[in-house]
Amino acid sequence: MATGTLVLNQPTLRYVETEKPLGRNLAQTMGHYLWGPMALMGLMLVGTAFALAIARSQLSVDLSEEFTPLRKANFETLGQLIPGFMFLGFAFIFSGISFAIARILGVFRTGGGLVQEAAGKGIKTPVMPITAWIFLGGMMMAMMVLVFAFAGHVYAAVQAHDAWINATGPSGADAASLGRAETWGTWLEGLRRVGVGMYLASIAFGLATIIQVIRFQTLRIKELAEQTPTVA
Amino acid sequence: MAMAIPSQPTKFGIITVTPAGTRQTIIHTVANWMWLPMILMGIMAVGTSVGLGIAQAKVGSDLGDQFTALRQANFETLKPLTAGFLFLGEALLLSGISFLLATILGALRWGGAEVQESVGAPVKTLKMPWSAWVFLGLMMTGLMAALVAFGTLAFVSAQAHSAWIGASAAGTPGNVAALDRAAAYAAWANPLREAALGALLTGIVFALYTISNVVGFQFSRIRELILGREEGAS
Repeated sequence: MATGTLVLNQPTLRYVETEKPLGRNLAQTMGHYLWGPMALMGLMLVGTAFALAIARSQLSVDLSEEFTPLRKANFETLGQLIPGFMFLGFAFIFSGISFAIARILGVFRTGGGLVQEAAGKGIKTPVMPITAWIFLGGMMMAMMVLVFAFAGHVYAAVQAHDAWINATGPSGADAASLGRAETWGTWLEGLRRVGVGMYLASIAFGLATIIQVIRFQTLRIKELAEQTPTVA
Repeated sequence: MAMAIPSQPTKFGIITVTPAGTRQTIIHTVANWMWLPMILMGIMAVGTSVGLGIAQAKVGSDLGDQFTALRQANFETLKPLTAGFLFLGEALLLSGISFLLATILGALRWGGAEVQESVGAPVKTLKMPWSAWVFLGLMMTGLMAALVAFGTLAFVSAQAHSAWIGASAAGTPGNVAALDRAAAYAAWANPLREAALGALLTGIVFALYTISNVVGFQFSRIRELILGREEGAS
């Protein structure tokens, strides 16, 4: 396996030269199979959050008619669970987007190799660029942040339930549990935004990788055309 | 008499074979025209939300100085409106991105046909795959849900205004029934706007999958043209 660089308007693009087309790498194979399951699970979680919101809306109506500790406890518990499920759903959907981008990169890698093989002039495949590594790392960290935020919301939901289940009236909650639930709810909101921001940034790096691959393939097509003798 | 267009299955989906180039579909044409207006409307809606947020902060500051029913009513009215405009803007921006992805698909379809036609080969084009229909369905569902959520939040804001405009003191609304209605509608309208974004984002996943499939088909077709033999049959 030989290595080299191709230059198109800077910076240089490192590549490997092989006799046979390279297959998908591990990340691209995962993207090939997992984009659909991730997107569907995300959509289901978002749907779950919306169903919980409808239940909470009904509890709000019931509470306005008559206060009971159970209704209030359920209302506040769902108030924590809904954002948890919603953003866990977003995490899976963003994973679906990331895996779909990895799938596109896999298609470029295998397809580009097959076309070069057909042309019979050697197969050059770009080495995984730094943007692709940042894309992968950012995506995994963002997923972990959002899964942690979901677990935090479950904890806050338990605290909210404890705070209200034995309440004597609309202002008779257990102060310690209520305080914990509110504190966790407040900082988890920020954490959720951080997770979404990390996902969006990593997707941007995935798109930047696609741009680099297209640039490499454009240059390679030009190189192949120059090597092919033209008919006078 | 209409001429039947031959079609054949491949591992990338069903393709049609025509002697001349294929035009863009109506969806691609709509996308070509709509992506920019959607993004501009999205930016305007998000900008409006920022403006309303600043106004809400000022009313909140005034309310801290002295309670009046009008200030409280305005503060409570602006809260759901700010959220409504923000999420409507985000939904429009995501719709703009979706239209852009449809534009890319249209360019791949048109460009692929042009290349095949220029080398004198029969033009093979993928029929609109199932994933593209799912993409369109989710995009339209998401946009409609976002509009419903916006309309509901506007209703919530009207109810909140009715609840507080006759208030006699802080924490004592003039119309409790209106306040309860506002709370009940807000309880599901806020998650609905997020679910709308979820549907739009899932649509984008399917659009990206469609793009990967189309690109894969085009690599396969280029290989066929170079080798001079058919390869893509399933």
